[in-house]
Amino acid sequence: MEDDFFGLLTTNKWPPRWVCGEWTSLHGWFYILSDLSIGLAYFTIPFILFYFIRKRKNNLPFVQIFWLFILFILACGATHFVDAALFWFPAYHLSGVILFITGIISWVAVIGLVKVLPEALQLKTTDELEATVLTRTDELQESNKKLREINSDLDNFVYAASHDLKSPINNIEGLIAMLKSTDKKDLVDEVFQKIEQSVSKVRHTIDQISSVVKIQRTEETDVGEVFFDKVLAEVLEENVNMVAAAKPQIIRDFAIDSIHFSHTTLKSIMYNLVTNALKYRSTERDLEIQLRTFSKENHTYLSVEDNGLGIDLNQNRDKLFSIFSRFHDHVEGSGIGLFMVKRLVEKRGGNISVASEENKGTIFTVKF
Amino acid sequence: MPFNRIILVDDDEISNFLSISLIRKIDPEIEIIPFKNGKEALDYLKNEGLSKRKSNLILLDIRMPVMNGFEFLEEIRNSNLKTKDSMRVVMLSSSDNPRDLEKAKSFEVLGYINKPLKEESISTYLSLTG
Repeated sequence: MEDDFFGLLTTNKWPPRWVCGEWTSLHGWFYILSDLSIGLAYFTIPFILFYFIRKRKNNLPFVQIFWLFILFILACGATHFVDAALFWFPAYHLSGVILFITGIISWVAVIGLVKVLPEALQLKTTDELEATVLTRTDELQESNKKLREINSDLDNFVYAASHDLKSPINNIEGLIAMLKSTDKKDLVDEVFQKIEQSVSKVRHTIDQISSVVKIQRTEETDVGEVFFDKVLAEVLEENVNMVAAAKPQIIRDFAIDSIHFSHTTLKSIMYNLVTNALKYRSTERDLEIQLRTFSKENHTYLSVEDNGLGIDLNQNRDKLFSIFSRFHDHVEGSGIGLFMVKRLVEKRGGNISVASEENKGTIFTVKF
Repeated sequence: MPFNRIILVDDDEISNFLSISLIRKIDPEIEIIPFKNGKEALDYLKNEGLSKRKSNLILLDIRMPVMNGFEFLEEIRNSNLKTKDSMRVVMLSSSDNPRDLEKAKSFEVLGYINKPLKEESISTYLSLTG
């Protein structure tokens, strides 16, 4: 037996443990049974781990560490069985080799653990995961809501645009029918004039629609420091006739004198708000338009206040910013301005609010 | 059941011109009062004394500034103006949008005419004239 397996199974060089020293039956079996119990438990754990790995399939982080653990525990279990066996078969070489292998596997496990530790620390707890899921759900709901808003905006846009295109075309149809059934010179002239009017209405609506489409599409390339005062001057200059007719007293209070923004966009916003104030002025008093900028909670605000006709917001708040909605019928208007302003402001993450009282005035506040 | 005048509520002047000429052609005598929006028509009807109250055929557009056709119907429904015979409404609109048709139906209007107004579409309602 000397040379079998490098003497692994050699048992004749030592006495069995039972006869080495003075074991009482109780102490001996106490020792043996404890060893067996540990060994058995250590051999059971790998089955559980194996079952766990199989069940979780690819869904388990650090699966190699699990395999390493299975080996480690099996090895540890083996040392205890051999230790128990030494009471009858003193194969100390074998025991030494198994301890050696266990030692190596244990160190590999240690190194493996140290390696994955930083990554393992990054693993989220269930609570953290749930919190993440909740935040993401909120974000999704928010963007879903935005999408629904855009969708309903689009719906309204199509509805309104098709209506505003259909109306003049229906009129043209009716006018042509009328032409066919009359030969009165005066009436013919009048009808032709109305056909021309209707055609230019169609053209106007198409221009409006394409300008809306344009603002949806255009990338803002002229972002930089823009001065409110300068933009206001440009707006007034472009509407010199309207300004001359309205003779407004314009009060400027630009506490924040400039903003990092697209020049064209700011101009469109101010253009619409200022021309609205000019258009919907009261005939009962001199027009006063007050433009203010201020800063609140790290946001720049612009407010445009007038003492004009005002709007009954109780009935019209929802409609105010929707496309082709109009609230006064004595002045030329297309119902597109505030819709555009809202779009432009929201596109850059801001919003617009309004307060108004009929026959007192209106104040629009843009938050950038 | 007869009515004795037509209330025409529409902001589109050309459309009103066409509607009025067409109705006049069928019935040169009938009284037609045009209004530019629901609010004007409502105010007129409200201010009219009870004694003078007539039965009306209302030709009602939908999309109008200030007060649209449906808001007008809502106001009529909630007001003391509503009696079955005095407020017979026929919608007159460019819209053939299903949601407008549905909404009109919910107000139990007498009819729904798509613009432009044609003789055959209005004459059935005009024959109700007394």
